[in-house]
Amino acid sequence: MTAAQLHRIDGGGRIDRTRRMHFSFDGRWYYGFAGDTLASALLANGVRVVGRSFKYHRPRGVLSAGVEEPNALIAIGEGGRLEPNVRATLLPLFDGLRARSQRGWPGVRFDLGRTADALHGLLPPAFYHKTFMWPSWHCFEGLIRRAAGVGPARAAADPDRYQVQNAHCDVLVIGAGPAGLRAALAAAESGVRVLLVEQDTDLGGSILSEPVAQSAAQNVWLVGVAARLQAMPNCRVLLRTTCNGVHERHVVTAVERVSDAVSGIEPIARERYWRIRAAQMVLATGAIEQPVLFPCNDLPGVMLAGSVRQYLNRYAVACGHKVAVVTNDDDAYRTALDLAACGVSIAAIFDSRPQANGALPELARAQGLPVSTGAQVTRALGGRRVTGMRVAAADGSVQQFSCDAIAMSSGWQPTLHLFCHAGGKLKFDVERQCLIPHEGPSNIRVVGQAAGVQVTVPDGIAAARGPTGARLGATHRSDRCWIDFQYDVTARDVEIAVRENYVSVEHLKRYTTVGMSVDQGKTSNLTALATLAQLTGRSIAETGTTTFRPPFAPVTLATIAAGRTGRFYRPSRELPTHALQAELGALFEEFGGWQRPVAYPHGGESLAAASEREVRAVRSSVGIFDGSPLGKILVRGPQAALLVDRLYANTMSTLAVGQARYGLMLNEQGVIIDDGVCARLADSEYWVSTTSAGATRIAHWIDEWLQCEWPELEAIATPVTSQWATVTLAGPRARDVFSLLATDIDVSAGACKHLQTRRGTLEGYDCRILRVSFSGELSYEINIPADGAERLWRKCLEAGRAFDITPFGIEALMTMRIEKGFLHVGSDTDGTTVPDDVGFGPAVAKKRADFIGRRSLDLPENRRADRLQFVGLRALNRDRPLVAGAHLVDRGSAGYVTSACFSPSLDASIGLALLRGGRARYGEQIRVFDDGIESLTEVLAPGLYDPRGLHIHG
Amino acid sequence: MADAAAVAATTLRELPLAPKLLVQCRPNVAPDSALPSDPNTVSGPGPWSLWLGPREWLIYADSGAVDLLTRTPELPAAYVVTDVSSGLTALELAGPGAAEVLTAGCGLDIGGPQLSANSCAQTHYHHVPIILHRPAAGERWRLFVDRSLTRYLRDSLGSQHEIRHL
Repeated sequence: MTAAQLHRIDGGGRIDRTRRMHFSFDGRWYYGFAGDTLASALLANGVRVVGRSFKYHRPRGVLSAGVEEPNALIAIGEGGRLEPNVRATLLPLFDGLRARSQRGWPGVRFDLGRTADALHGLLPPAFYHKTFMWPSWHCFEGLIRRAAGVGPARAAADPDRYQVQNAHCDVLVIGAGPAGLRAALAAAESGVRVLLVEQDTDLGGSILSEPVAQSAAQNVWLVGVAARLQAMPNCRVLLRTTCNGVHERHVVTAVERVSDAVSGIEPIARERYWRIRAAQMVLATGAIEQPVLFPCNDLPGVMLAGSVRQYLNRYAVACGHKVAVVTNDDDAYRTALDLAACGVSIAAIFDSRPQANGALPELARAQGLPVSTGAQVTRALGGRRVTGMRVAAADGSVQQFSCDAIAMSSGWQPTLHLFCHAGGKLKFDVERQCLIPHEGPSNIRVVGQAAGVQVTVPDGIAAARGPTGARLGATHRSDRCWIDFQYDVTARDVEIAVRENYVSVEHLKRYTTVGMSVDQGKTSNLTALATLAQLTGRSIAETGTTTFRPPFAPVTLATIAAGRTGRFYRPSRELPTHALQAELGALFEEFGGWQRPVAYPHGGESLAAASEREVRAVRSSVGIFDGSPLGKILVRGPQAALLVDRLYANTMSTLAVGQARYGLMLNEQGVIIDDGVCARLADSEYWVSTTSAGATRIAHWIDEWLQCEWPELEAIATPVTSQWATVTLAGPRARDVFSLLATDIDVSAGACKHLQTRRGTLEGYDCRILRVSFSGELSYEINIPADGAERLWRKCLEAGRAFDITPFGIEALMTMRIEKGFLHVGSDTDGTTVPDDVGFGPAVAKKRADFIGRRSLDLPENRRADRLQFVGLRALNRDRPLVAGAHLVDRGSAGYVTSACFSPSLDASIGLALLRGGRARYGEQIRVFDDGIESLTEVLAPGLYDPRGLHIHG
Repeated sequence: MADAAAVAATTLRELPLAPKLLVQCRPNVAPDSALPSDPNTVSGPGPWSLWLGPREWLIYADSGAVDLLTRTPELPAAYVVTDVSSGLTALELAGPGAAEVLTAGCGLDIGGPQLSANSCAQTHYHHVPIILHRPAAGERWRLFVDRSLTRYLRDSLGSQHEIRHL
C-alpha cells in the first residue's frame, strides 16, 4: 500500500517519472522515481522524522541533500547485508529498498528516550566526563552503555564482495561540478591521463540543482563535456565515488559504491576501495552550506536553503507548502525565488543583515516576496515538525508566522578536508566569512567554490552559486540553538564549556563532542568556531580550527579490508607435495605461514593417538616427513666461510667439505634469533638451513648485513627454500629404505656419518643429502628439486612398505624433539635468551672470530648465574600433565614451561622450560602452577630420550 | 574502467616448467654486457634476461626444451648462477582486462610509461612477492611467484575478478 506523494511538484526535476521505485521505510511502503535519492523520496512522501538525535533523542528530519547530512542516517539491508548509518541523501532509490530508522524506542516517531530532552538541564556538556569526577561513573554506566552507539552492528558475516583497485594518473580531479569538469576537460585535452572522481550519481555538481528549464545552456554544456570526456581514452570517470583521504606521498583513497544492498541480487562488488596515485591533484570539491543559529533550529522541516533548492529543482520535491527563508546572505534568495516559481508559498524571507540590496534580494522584492531585513528568529515552533516561527523584527517587535518548512543559510564553507589531509593550511577570510585554502603542496590546486571562487559555464553564464558569503555568529544566544544536530551540541553547551575554561578549539571539540559524530562536523565546525570566537572575544582567525583527518566520510571496515578477508587474510604457502599429503590423509594446520600436515589420523583416530602412533613408528622402524619449508640459503664466494662465521655464534669456517654443524644465529643484542644446520658443500660454498618460520626473515637479514655493513665481503647469499623440497626419512630403518632407491649416493654407516652431507643422483635428480636429525633417530634429509618431490615420496613409500613406513606430521616431530631436548627457537627461547641460557655457552666461548652479537654476550646481565636457563621437566603427577605456558613456582615465579607433550617413548608427561638458575637445579622438584592448579615436576637435563645419542649415530 | 566483459575475457594459465636461472654478482664488479643494466629492463627473447636489482637477474626461456644452463653466457667468476626452475612458477595473465586484474592487488602503474613493453618489476600482488614481466606491448603479463605461493596467488587473482583459469 502506498500513499500519494504530497510534496512532489508536477513536472520539472531530473527524475524519470516513468520508472516508479517502491521502497519501505520503517515498515511502511512508499514510492519514488528513478533518479530520486532515498531522502528526496521520503521528503516527497511527506516523511519528516527520519531519525533521533544522539543525546536528547529529539526528532530529526533531513537537513541537507549531500554528504554533510547529520540527521538522515538510516539502516538498510538484512542479516549479513545490514548496513548502518547510510546517509539517505546519498543513497539512490532502488526498487524494493527497505530502509529503517536507527534510533528511538519504541519507534522513531514516538521515542521514550526523549525524556532525556526534558532532563537536558541535568545533562550538561561533558556529562560523561563529569560522572568520572562525581558521584561515580558506575551510577550511569549501564544507562550510558545502553544509550551509546549510533547504528546497529551487523551480527552475521557479510556475503558480499569488496574490491580493491589501484590507479595511477597524471591529474586527479576530485569533484565533477562546473570547476572540476573544466579542469578535467582541459587536462584530458592536453593528452595526460586524467581520473575524474565524483561522489554523485551524475556529473554536473551544482548545475544539477538549477531549474532544468532555466539552465538550458548549462545543460547543453554539461552533456557536451560529459560526451567529450567519455570519448577520450586517457580520461576515466568514477561516479558514486567519494575521495576519503589524502595520505602519505599523496596516495588518495576513495570508495566507489558499486551496488547497494539489493536483496536477492548478487552484485559484482558492493564497494570498491581505490588507492590512487596522482602526479597532480585538482580539488573541485565545492562548498557546504552552513546552518543559522536560532532556538529550536533542529526541528524536522528546518533545512539548508541550498538543499531545499536542490530537492525542488533536481527531484521536483517541495520541502514544504509554506516555506520561510532565514538567511544572512544573498544565496538563499534563489531558494525563495525558485520555490515561488513552482507555486510554493513563501511565508517570508528573514534576513538578519540590516540591509540586503543585492541583485537577488531586489529580484525577490520585485516578484513580491516578503523580505524582512534586520530580523532575528527567536524561536522555531513545532514538535515533530516545524509549524511556525517567532521573529523579532528590526524595530524589536516580535511576530509569529506559520510555516511548514524553514530554509536557512549562513553562507557556504568551502570543502577543504582533502586539502588539509595533504598538509594544506587554511586561513579565515574575514570578507567572505569562511575558511579558504592558504598554503598547500605545490601539486594540489583548489578550484571553484572550494577556493571560494565563482565559476562560469559556459563562459559568461554564471554557474549555480555565487561566491560564498557567509555571515556567521550573528544570531548566537544562550537559548538552545543547535550547532551539532546529531550529537546535540548547542550554543549553550559551548557557552558552558567556555565558562569551564575550555577555550581552545581542540578542547572544545573533545569536551562538547561537537563535530565528532558521523558527519564529522561538516555543518557544525564552523558555527562552533564562530560561537567560541564570539564568546571569548577573539576573532575566528585567532581561535583557530580543528584538524581534518581522514576519512572525509565514513568508510565501512569491509571496504577497507577489501580483498583481504577469509583465506585471503594473509598468504598461505603449500608444500610441493600438498596434493599427495592430502591423499595420504593429512590433517593440515598453518605453521609459520605454511599449510602443513599436523598428523595423518587413520579413520576415527584422534590427533593425539595419531601422533603417538607416528612417534612409535619412527622410533621403532621408519617414518617419512615433508620438511620442505625448512629455510635453505646458499652462501657462495671466496669469503663464504668468513660470512658464515659472522652469521653464527659458533665456528663454521673449520668445517671440512661434506661436514655439517648445528649453530645459533644471534642479533646484535646477543639474543638467539634462529638456529639450524650449516653444511659445507665446497670450499667456497655453504648450505645454511634456517627454521621454517625464519626462512624469509633470515635471508633478508643476511642481505641487509651484506648490503649495508659488509659490501666489501666477497660472498653472495641466495635463498633457495622453494627450489629444494626436503624429504626426511627418519628411524632405525631409514637406511634400509634409502638403499632401495635408485641412487649413486653411499649412505652406509661408514660412508655418511651423523652431520655429514653428500651430493649425488637420486631417482634421476641431482640431490643433496644431509644426515641430520630433529627426531633423535637415524635420519636423512633429502633435498631434491621441488619438481621431483612427489615422485621421490612415492618411491620412498613404495620402498618403505616392507618396513611399514609411516608418514608423520608436525605433532609427532615436536614430540620427538621434546623427548630429545632439542631447542625450538621461538618456543623455548624468548626475546632475552642468549646462547649460554640454552647450554651453548662453551661452544661460543671457544670461538675466536667475530660474529654478530658477540660483544653483547659480555654484558654483566647476560652472564648472571640466575638467568632463565633451558631445562627438561618430567611431571611427577600422572594425572596432571605439563602444559606450555604454565609457571614454575618456588618463592615466586621461577620460570615457565616452554614446550610440553606426552612422551610415548618414556610413557610420561614431559616438557622443556626456562627456569631461573635452572642448570644448577637438576634433580630438584618444583611446583608447576597452571590455571589455578598446582602440581609437582622434576627438573632434569634436557634430552630424556636416548641421552647418549646411540640412535642418532646409529 | 575495463568492463566486466573485458575482465571475463582475461585468462590465467600456468606456463609449463622451463629452466629459470637466478644470476647474482658481487658488488663493485664490472657489468656484464650480456645482462641488462638499466633498472626494470629486459633483454631477450632467447633467453629473456630480467633486471631484478643492481646485482641480480632472472634468466628464463620461453620453451622448456632450451637448456639454459649450457646456453647461459660465460660469466666472470664474480657471478653466481642458481637454478631456480623448480622454485619459481611462471603464470601468464592475458586479455583485455589483464591490467585491471593486476592493479587490484599491485600498486605499480601497470600499463604506464614506466612499465611498457619488455619491462619487468619486482613487486607484490596483495602480500605475495612477484616478479612481473611484460614480454611485448599488449595485455599480456608473466608473473613469477614462489612455488609455495602459486595456488594462493592464482586464487587471489581470481578472487577479485571473474577470470578464466586455463
